[in-house]
Amino acid sequence: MDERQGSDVLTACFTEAGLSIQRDYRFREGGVNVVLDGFDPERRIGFEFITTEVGDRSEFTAAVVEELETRMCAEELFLFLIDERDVRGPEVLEGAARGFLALLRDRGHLT
Amino acid sequence: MSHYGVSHFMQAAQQQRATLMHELGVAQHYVSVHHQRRAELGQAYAQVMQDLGATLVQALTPEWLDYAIRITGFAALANENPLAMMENERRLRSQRVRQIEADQRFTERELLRHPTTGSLPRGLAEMQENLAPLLDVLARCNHSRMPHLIESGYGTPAYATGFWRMSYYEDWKAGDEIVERFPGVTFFTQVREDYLRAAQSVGPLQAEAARLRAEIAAGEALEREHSECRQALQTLEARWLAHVRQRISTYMLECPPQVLAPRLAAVPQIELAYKRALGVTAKAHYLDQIVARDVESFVRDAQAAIAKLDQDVTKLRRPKKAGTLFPAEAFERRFRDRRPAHQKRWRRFEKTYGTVYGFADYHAAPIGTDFLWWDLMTDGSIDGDFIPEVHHFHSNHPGYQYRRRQRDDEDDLVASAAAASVHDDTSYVSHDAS
Repeated sequence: MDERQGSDVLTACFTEAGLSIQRDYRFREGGVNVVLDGFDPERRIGFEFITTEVGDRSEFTAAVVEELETRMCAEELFLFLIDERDVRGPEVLEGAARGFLALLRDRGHLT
Repeated sequence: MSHYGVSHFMQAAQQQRATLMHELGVAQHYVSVHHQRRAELGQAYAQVMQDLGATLVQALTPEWLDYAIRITGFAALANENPLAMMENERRLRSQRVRQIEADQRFTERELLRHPTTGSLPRGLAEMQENLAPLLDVLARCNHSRMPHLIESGYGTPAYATGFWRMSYYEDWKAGDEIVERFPGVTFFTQVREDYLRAAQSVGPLQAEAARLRAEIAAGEALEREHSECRQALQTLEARWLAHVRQRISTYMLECPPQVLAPRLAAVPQIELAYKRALGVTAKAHYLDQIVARDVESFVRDAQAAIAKLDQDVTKLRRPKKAGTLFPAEAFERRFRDRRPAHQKRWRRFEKTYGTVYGFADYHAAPIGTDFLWWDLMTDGSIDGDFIPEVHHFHSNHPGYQYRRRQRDDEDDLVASAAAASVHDDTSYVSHDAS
């Protein structure tokens, strides 16, 4: 799957869950300055499909991911992080996205 | 008629093809008869070689060896000293038998390796029994993500992958798939414990099973070796006698006949066996050459002619070739009746082959002189220059002239009977021709 196909699948799932996803959202907070593939700035929920094709690996460095994860542990925001190498097809990606959204719902971050 | 058309060509080609196919059948029959004759000659050769050796060395004793060496001049056999070699083998084999019989792996073979009560097979069975459930756990855990699940501590508090990562859901899915393979198990943690225990225990158990198998195999090899040694000791003298006989008869066949002839003159029985061995060898060679000239070459030519006919017929079937005309002379030359020529060839083959195969007067071979088996076998009545050796002999002996034998009544009777038997078997086309 390429970046566009992956983002389309994720946007559909997140939108269906009631989120207002903005594609290619510039996220600039603290020391983090990246473009997210999809993000709802109001609910602070989104996703990033990391691919080599568009140079994500130089943008989402280990330090950036660590910073984002620290903030997710503090429940300040939630970003579904997908490495293209873990995705075997659109069904797998869609299943995982629904699992992520269900967990957020269980934890009260999504109605 | 000055020209022939395509329809004439087709008819003539069909006829010629049928004739050639018939003749190929005849040739195949001759090849088959020759094959059978060749096998019989091979057996006759083996028998005569055995007779030769058996007549010269009737027992493996110094006296019989001296006799054989004196008669044949095969002095090298004395240096080889087969009696000493045989005694050496007897000593080594006996020594090995004693060694094996003193080995605990042999003396306690029943106790150790009896299939049902032996300690080693029982130990191996027990090991396999212990291994079976462990291997079963490993087989059920065979999943491409299992190593990662174990390494990441999936199912334990040490598992640190965030729920926002895709791999978290892949791990979850894989874990569920593996747990499903274990009825009655609810959590991956239980599978993980069984898996780690199995993975740790399998290696040592398999190593122990391999050790037991190797011990069984080594013991069995020892039993086999013991049995082989005993068998070798039982057949020792017969084997060495056969070996010596073989050495002597082979030496005689390799020795120039002129050298052996004076030595054998005083022992007619051996001389006759020797002549038979030489004669049967020459006969087999001649028969091969006769078949090659008269039958095999015909088969090659006929197959090529049939292929050419088929090719021409295919070409002439094309509409644009319908008006082709063939000059009468060339057409008639190509499709002339070749059956008389074939009949002539087969008659020549039957006569030559039958004469050589029917030869039985081995005793008449003047082995002390520079003679030609071909002339003796055919009584000089058939030209054998198509055989390279015969041709070579004539080239090297420009003044040579074969003097036909004065056959006695007994010779005539034997030869006529043999030739008649050959003719009955090989004759094929003569019935057609008559």
